[in-house]
Amino acid sequence: MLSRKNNERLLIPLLLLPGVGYILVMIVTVLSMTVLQSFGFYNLTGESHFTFKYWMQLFDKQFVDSFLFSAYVGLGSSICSMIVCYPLALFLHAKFPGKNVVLPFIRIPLFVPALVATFLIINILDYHGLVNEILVWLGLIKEPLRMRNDQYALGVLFIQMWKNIPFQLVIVSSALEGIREDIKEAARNLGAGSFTLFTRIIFPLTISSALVAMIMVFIGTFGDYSVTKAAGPMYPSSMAVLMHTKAFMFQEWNYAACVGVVMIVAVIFFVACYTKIASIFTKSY
Amino acid sequence: MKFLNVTALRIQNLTKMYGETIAVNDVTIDIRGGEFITLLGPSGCGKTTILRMIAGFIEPTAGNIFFDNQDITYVPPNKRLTAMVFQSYALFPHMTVAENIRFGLRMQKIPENEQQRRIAEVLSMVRLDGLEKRRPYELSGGQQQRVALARALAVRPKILLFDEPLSNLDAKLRESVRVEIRELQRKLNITTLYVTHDQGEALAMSDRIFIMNKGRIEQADTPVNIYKYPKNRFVADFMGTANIAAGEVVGYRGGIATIMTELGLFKAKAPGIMSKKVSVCWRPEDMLLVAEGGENVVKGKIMQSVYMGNCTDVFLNVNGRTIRAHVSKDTEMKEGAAAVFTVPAEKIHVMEGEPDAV
Repeated sequence: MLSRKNNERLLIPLLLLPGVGYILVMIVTVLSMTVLQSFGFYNLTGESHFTFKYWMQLFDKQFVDSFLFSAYVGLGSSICSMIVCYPLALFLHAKFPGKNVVLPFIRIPLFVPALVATFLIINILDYHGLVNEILVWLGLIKEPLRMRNDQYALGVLFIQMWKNIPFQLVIVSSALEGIREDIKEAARNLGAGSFTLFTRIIFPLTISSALVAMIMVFIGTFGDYSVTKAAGPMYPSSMAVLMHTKAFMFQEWNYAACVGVVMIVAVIFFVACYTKIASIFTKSY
Repeated sequence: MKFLNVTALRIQNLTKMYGETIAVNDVTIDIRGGEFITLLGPSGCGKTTILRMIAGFIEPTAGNIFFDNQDITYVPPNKRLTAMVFQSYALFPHMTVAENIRFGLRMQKIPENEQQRRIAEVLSMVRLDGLEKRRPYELSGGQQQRVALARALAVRPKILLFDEPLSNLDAKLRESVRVEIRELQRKLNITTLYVTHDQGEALAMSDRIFIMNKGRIEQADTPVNIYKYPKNRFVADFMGTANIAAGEVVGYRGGIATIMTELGLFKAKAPGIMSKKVSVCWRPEDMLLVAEGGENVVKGKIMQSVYMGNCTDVFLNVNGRTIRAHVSKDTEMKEGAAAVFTVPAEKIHVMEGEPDAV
């Protein structure tokens, strides 16, 4: 018969198993294998041995362009979305007639899958899409503009904004809702006008949430595959597209693993930067 | 620091309606400069609405508000020079104690060195020296409350407004903070309007109390007069515990009225009685336990006795009515036993009018 102490020794790992087990199996294992693969281990074809070869091959022009393009799409989408989202959240925070009708419509993109959204918006932004047709009809342009697969990835940015503004809106709106009315009243009571109320109270109290929303969008768009594949330029491709091409078209799994590791490290780096910015903003108020 | 230019506050025929609901109904209040006034009443009586109209957070439906004869009814809240201490303190969570206090001073464009001086002064006043760099979440409830007070005092407001500022503190702290607030108010001689539903707070702090009910002022007087001479049944009931019995005046001689009530015959001191239908009212602590009857006798059966620490609260059944009496904490009051009490005539207050009306 097991003693009580032995029972406890068994019980603790068993209780930890659902959480720690998941982390070990689903996260640590997968990440470790990707890292190891980038150094030549776990090869699907050929010999497995330690090498820096794949890392040495990685930093060519194609990779650097892909990295910069993904960073551009990630930063561009998260910043542009927030530029639209924040004032919109402030507007929606106010009471106005029909608010309950407007809000569900704004949230619709949350429920549309990214690829479906891409095809919907391509129809609008395409060479013979709705926007170009209207602009030509109005006489504002002579020839349709290239807004899909263009070198500045305007179509990608537009689709990402369409998809992510409602998501950011949910986070920023709850931050705005979280500011107690009496705090705003206290500021007004102490002499703050509307502008000061915004700059000294509302903005500092919502900036952290806004940055979190931007980080979330950045992570999603930096590593995006489907939108950039469908609406992005032919060259450069995004990191995810590059990774897919290398792995599935050229069977360069180790190269793809290196790209994957760079993507993970880059996301961690950008998240750290955002966090630093958030702490600077918070401290400065 | 002393507020030399004390501001008088006048509220004239103030009314606030939300749709068909009347929150404040034609209220007129005159407050002298430097006075400490308490608006006291149950939840929903309109006291906070009045306070918020004075601060400018809500616009009245009708009526006017004057600071020293200057109509400020439609002046925006940031231009009124009132300072409010909120129930939840409303400290800015992203700012330190010093930054919270500095906020109002910056809005008034006070020079930097004067800001520093005032911050030190008010922090010393509320005994929070050394906590300038703390954030609100690093402070206890009592400390947060004192920061809110310091922040309000630093801007040297014309009128200081308190919206149930002690309701989130524990009983012991509440007592000590209310003494501190009153001392500071006296020292600074600042016109103060205080909203509470706590009778003890109102009695302990105020120069005058305005009792409110259903958007109206029921009675406005000093704490002593409000407690001893309530104008009607609502005030008597709201200000502590009161025994009230409806009756009819059957005789009046030499300033003493003889009143026949449902509890028996009572003689009460009354300077002048205008109506026949009256109610008599007395406090439980004014009842004297006696061995035998005399004048103003209340005989009954003890239903319950509750030890209160400083006294024993006795619930008597008198002709089917519950009457409460406070006796010395050492007196043994056996439940089910008979007890005889008397009430001195000078302790009985006569409220005129039909019983239902009072």
